[in-house]
Amino acid sequence: MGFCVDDHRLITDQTCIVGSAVVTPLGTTEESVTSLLDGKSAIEISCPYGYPVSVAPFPDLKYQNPKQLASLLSDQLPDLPTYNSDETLVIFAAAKGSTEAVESGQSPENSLLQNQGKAFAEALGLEQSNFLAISNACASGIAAIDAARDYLFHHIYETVIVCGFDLISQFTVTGFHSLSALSPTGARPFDKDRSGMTLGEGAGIVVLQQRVPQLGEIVISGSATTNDANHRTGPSRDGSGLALAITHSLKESGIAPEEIGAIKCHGTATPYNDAMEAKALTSVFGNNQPPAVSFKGNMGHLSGAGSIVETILAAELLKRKQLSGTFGFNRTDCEEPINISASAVAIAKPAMAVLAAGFGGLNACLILKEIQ
Amino acid sequence: MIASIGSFALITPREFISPAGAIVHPGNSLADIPRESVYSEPYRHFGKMGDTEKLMFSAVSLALKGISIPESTGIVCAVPNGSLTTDCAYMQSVNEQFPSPSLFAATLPSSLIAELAIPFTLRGPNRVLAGNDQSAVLLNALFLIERGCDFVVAGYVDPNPVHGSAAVILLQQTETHHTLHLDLQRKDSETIPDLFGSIIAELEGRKHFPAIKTRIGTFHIEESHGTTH
Amino acid sequence: MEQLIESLKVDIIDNLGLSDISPEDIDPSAPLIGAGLGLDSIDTLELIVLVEKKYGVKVSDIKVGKEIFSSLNSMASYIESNRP
Repeated sequence: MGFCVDDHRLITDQTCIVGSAVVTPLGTTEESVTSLLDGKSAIEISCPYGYPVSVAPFPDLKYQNPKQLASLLSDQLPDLPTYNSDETLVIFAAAKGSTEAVESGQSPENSLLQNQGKAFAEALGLEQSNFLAISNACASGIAAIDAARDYLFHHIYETVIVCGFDLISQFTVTGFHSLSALSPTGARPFDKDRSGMTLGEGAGIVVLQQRVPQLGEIVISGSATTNDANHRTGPSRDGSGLALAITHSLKESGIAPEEIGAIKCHGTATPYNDAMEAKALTSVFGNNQPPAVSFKGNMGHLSGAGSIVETILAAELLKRKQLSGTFGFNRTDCEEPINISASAVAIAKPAMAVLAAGFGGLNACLILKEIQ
Repeated sequence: MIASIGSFALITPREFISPAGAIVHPGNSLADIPRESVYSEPYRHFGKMGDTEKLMFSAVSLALKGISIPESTGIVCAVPNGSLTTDCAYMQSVNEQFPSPSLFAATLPSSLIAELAIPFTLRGPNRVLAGNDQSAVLLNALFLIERGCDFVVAGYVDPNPVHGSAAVILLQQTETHHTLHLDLQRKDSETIPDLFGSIIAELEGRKHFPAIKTRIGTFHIEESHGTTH
Repeated sequence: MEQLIESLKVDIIDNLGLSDISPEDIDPSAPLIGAGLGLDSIDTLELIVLVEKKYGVKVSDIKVGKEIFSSLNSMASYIESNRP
């Protein structure tokens, strides 16, 4: 898999991140990056909807509103109105979005992702743009960026904006609790004492264009999605699907595993996910692995929009050449030689792999590269 | 971009249409599909699937009858109804104080992917489009072919019992260059709501399937001169 | 006990959507999970919900659940001895 190697556009034009913003349980982009590097966590041990589980909610309850989220994102992106045209495609990416309409039982069709996405695009001031909604479970964000690269590569649109949000709700708390997936004490990715995931919430937006990158700019040089074809909700036991997504992405980027400076793992902190990921990483990176991080101990699992948010935060860390520590990680029980960052470390090489996986055996990977 | 059509299937409330011909829908409603009518082996998960998943699985089963496709095959699907029916059923179980884990596991627009990937062993790339944009399905399927996928299952499924349908077109990499035009501008997607149905109507009864081709932003379906299949 | 086993067969078929299976196909001593009926981990969780919802019997831990649901016989005797 990969874009045609003989095409000159591969060498000159790249998918450039021309703007981005997030809102997470840790705050805005700047606040989130600072908190990650300072080793802070937004996880609370509370009793949402009467269930004894941990959650990572927004710092302010009023953020739990798509319009509010859209304005918090657009405030961070002053150029956004300039993309409001027919030459832009907005791809909304989420696993579920807001489930309020289903919970209330009134007009449940309002919960359809395409309807939520169109309303979100409008709230972002992008109502003139074309629209698409992609929903690949918890890998939606990277899957949407992967599709965005196709639209840009074929010059169908000048700009593709990938955006999305996913919220904590009664729907998601009861559901993940029924699957015994939630930790009562907080996600501890890759730790031997991990006891499940913590739900978080967040929103992200990334503006992408295909052009010759400038020095120091971060580009998305490769991406891929794969399927485990193994289990409806559980990760594959051998990690081969995720490993394949990483291999395809590296190949498309034209870089070797040794050139990767850091990995942003999916790292949900469920026993099976992290064990699967350790196998996937080891099958690609072998015995000498770059430092790897999961943000889930800091801000929980942000579902489908999570991989937009985590891609943006990973790009910010790559710019700063600093990888944050994995909050809650102390010692692993994985036999594989994974290299999880317990505290902040330097990113020694200018490329980073960003991973995501979701229900339905969906895997996704993209490669971020700093132009030097 | 160009790909040829390897197979197709359409399930409407009245008919099953595939390269094998058209038959009267054997059930009482769109999603009331007897397993034997689409899949010859007993398949335990069939009875567990929601309407959306069952329709898509059935359409893919019809399209792939007698055809073997590689593990690297990709899947692109549009789901205008998302997982709405399952969402409401799950919420009812929450309201009854017993949240159902198996219902919750199917409350995603992408739930149908596992129901295709697992039984047909499809490990290639996946894109689930929430909404109605059937031309975007074909365009994204062609993107995946362009990026090296030999085969892509492109589908559309709306479980509405009255006007719903499930349609599948199997695209494959090809060298062919003959054409029959079905004009479709990228921004006209809303004006051709039943693109899959129109394409399948063109294909029905043919011995040789045409190729599907895009230029930048436009689609053309091109008449095959019978050399490719 | 016989009666409970017969009614559990119907419950399992209905709740897990086993449309290709009839009650007489289920051997009460055969494994329910994995081989046998081919039930997976989500089915196990769904059985835990079923046992609590219909018989008022709680199964607190999925690991315990796996033993209880090792066969229809063991499922029935667990319900018998824990019924409120």
